[in-house]
Amino acid sequence: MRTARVICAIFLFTFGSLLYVHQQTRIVSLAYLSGKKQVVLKELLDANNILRYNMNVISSLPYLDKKILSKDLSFEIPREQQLVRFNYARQDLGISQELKKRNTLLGVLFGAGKQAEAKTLNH
Amino acid sequence: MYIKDYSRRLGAVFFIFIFLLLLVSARLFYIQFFKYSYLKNLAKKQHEFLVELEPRRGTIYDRKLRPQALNIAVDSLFADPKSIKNKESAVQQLSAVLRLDPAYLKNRIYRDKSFIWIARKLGSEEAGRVKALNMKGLGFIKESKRCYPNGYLASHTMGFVGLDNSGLEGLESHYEQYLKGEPGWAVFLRDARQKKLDLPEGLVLPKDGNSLVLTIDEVIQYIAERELDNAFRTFHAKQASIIVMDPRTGQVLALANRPAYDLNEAGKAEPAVRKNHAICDLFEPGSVFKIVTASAAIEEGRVNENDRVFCENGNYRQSNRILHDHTAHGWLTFREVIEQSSNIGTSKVAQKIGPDVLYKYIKLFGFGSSRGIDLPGEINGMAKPPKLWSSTSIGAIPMGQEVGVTVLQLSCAISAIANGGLLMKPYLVKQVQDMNGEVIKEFFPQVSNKVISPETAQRVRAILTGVVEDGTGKLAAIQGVKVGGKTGTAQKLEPDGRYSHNKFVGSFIGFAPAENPVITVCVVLDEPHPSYYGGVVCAPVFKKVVTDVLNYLEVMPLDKVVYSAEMAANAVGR
Repeated sequence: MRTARVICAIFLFTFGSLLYVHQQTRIVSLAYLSGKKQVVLKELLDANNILRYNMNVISSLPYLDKKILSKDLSFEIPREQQLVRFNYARQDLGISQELKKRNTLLGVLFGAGKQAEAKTLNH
Repeated sequence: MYIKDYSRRLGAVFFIFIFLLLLVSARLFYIQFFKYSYLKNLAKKQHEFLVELEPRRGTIYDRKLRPQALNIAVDSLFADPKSIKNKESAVQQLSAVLRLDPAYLKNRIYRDKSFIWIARKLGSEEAGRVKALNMKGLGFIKESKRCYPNGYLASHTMGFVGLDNSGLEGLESHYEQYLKGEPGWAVFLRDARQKKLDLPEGLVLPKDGNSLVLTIDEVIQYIAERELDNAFRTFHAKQASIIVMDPRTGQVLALANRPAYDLNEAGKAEPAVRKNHAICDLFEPGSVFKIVTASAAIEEGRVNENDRVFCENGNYRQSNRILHDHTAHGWLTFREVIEQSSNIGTSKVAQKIGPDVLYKYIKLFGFGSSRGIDLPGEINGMAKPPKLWSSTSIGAIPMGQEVGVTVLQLSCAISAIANGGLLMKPYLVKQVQDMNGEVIKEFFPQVSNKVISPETAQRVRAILTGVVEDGTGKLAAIQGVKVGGKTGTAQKLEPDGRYSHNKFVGSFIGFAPAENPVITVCVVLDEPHPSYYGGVVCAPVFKKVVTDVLNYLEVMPLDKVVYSAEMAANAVGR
């Protein structure tokens, strides 16, 4: 009877110890995993920051100035008080075409009229 | 006998064990009670390590929150020379990839150390090339690098930081306490292989630096620099400066100097190029200083615009000096004296005012003392009191000789005339924001002096409008907008104390629109040639800057611009 109790106590103690060790090893392995993911996340964030910075550089006025005034682009700076007309190609207005299609389909199905659509002033 | 021996042996073994147990217990007692703290620290050192968490330096924005200075994380390359087996090969490969001097690399890699920097804050391409070498003994540490997306734009205002990210020049240095932030720390555990476990035992997060919102407008700054650069190159000037200011508040909208430097490569620029000439250099202003004489004369009621002054047909002896005018004039009204920039006429008016009153207005306009702009290195300029004046000073000072001014002081003076007579304190930072965008400090316009009455300011503005319409500043005139200003051409002093006949400082100060000025512009070109008159070299800069800035600020609506049929025919179809 006493032996059984001792064995039982030893079993419980061992089981408890194993549980403790197991959760400790899990914590450590999760820490390794977290560390790896942190590195990946940090690299992604850094890459994102660099990308944003590069976008800032590319859209900066001195950079655009340099690019536009360089000889490889056939871009002409308008002279003072010279009128500049912007032409929009119809096929470039993809969203507008898509809206038109939808309106036509709705019109066919439900007899609904076309929605008002904004037009570019200079077109 | 056997039993007796047995129990004696047993007793001996027992005592030996008891003795050993006592020894162990004593040792344990010693370790637990006398070596406890030492061993605990030793274990702690093996399992824990302290990491300093670097704060992120605050961003600098322009007045419309466009970033002007920000941080990105970049790789810094270090080496563990003891782990590098073939050092000669390492030197050759790194030298080729990083374009570094082999002697420099040899000096570092052959050192008997376990950590040494090879190259800090590398670009992503360079870092990639080194990583591709896959060389043992090399490693990377992420460091924060200060970057300036606009390169050279506002370089003298922004300043730059050192390798340790502390501000060394300009706003970066002046607002270091706000920008730098406070470092944090974390204690991490590490395993038997000394590998870091992501389990912080203690953590104090770093406090990121605050951000600055400037009064500078990126677009206005660009316009000012573009036109200044153009004039600087066209007239082969030694140096040039421009300040665009809001006269109503004292906010500096643009401040630039030439030559300039790329902020991302500040270390490569010569110290002379990095100097902010607009606030750190004084010069004799010449005729632009006549705005002080004119203001003093009108405010004191000693003269009015239509009073006639005889300009001695271009030659006027005063004490032991002969004054000359650029063009010989006879009788001129006071308005015409300023419009035609007559030295003789101005000198005669100044004699009516007297040295003490003139000096009072020189000081009221802020000359001879720093204007208190939030940049390091601003100088006072030079305005000597009347007791130190010579017999010729009353002829020289009213026309801008024997005084030393900065471009900023001139800019503030013309702003005082433009805003109705108040000398405003110039400033570059509007707000300080914390990392969440909350405003923690705000800077408001401050009046330094009341210089002249609004009526006098109005009358001086009318005279200065005449300078552009009928006087020496015709090249500053803008179609559709009334502007005012004053030209200046000052001879430079030679080392022997004589005035040079081939070295000049050309300048133009002005405001627009004349009815209700919203900007003032001060342009100064040092030693321009072959042309050197302020009205020729600087007035066109003023015109172009004001035209573009007023369009940008939508002060000059497009309906005021007159389109001709010829212009319409030349329209670019794009």
